[in-house]
Amino acid sequence: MIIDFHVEIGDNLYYETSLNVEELIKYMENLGISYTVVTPAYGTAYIYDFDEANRGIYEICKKYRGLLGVGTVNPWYKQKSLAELEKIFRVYGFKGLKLIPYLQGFSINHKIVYYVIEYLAREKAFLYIPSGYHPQSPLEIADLADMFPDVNIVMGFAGFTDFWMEVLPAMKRHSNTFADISCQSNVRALREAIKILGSDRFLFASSLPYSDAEVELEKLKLLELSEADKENILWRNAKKLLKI
Amino acid sequence: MVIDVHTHLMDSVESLLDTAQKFGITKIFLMPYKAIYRTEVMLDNLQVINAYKKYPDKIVPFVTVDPWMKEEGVKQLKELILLGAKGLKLHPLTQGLPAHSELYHPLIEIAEKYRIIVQFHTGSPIYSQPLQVLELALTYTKTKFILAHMGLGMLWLDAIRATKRADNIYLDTAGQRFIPVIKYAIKELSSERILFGSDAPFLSLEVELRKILRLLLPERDLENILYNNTLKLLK
Repeated sequence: MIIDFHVEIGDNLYYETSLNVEELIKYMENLGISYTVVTPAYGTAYIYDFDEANRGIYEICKKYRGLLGVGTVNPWYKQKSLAELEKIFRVYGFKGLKLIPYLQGFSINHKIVYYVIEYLAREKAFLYIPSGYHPQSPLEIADLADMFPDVNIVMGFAGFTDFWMEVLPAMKRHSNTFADISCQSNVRALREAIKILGSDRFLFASSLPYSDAEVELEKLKLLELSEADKENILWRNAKKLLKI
Repeated sequence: MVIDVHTHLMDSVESLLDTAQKFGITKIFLMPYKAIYRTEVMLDNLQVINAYKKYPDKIVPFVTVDPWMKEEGVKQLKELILLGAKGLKLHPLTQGLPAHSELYHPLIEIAEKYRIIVQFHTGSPIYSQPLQVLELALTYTKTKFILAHMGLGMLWLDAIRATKRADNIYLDTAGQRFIPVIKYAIKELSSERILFGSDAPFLSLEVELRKILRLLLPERDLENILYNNTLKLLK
């Protein structure tokens, strides 16, 4: 089985790319992906259109069984975000929330985010953050994880650029941190981190449309893992986080 | 034919050339590794030069010197060029200064005088920012600059802007995490300013090449990126 832990769906004006749901379903069929975590496309969905974007994600998840929604709110809009969180977890039944601090305008460890994370703690839902430079470096995410030890936090892209070097110390100190391996080109660093930490907190993702499952599967092959470790990364760990 | 404009001498050159050959790569730009971190600078550079002497048809040798060594660095660079160096690799992040620092200028002047290519690591703020390299490219207009990694993470846009503003800038694809960024660059700049690079064996050649093939480019664009542009650059 394969669970793809991160995809963005819709038109992405900033990167001039897009992905529609029919393409995604066909893609999943071709590659044998059983479940895909879908999130809104980078853009105003994370700034002020999050209610509309979350509803869109809910609609496609209702239609296609293999899609699992993860929504977003913007912590700057507290009242609207609190109402939306209620909807995300009580009506839409999403299992997690995604924040993009550099797009939404805060440091991930700033207290402006706390009420959102407190909500996630109550719902036992996970948080997904594409990690990378400040204001969402792995050690900044780990600082948030330190404040909220009961919330599972996924560092998307495993540090993204040279910040792979913060992934290991972040995950070593905080057992509630996870990493998806997409868009992190440094296979040697991933191999080393998995060797030290074990495979229990690493996740497979295509991160379409930014990367591609074929590229990411090639990377997984290069990690030279045991079958059990590979299964952990391909679906077992994701299944636990998604509670499916 | 494929030319890889970004590799490092980390293990044996034979193992690197073997891997390259497996993927149809006929020529590599070979850079030192330890020297970038300002250790064993001359020894590491000379190993690159020796590898080139051994495999002159397969290797384009790049060297680096410590910009903080000032006159001594200039002297070393001249020596290395006389020994056959065809390119200068600079890594502001590990060399500890911004790309447009005056300490780099004497080295670029030598590169310009001897007409060798300059490849800059980019994408690690605050030192390796594409617009800092643009400052150099607008000053040393006869020198060809390669921005390695196309700005890596969020600096990809600056890398494209820098290339648009200076005809003597090229981008290498090594380690660029987002496939749409390469497409965006082709659209903005045409495929003629983009060069295939892998950063092997630091990064994985397989993954880096697959990424380019997944772009499903028209043949002409693919040929440009995989070897045509680099052949022109080497003339």
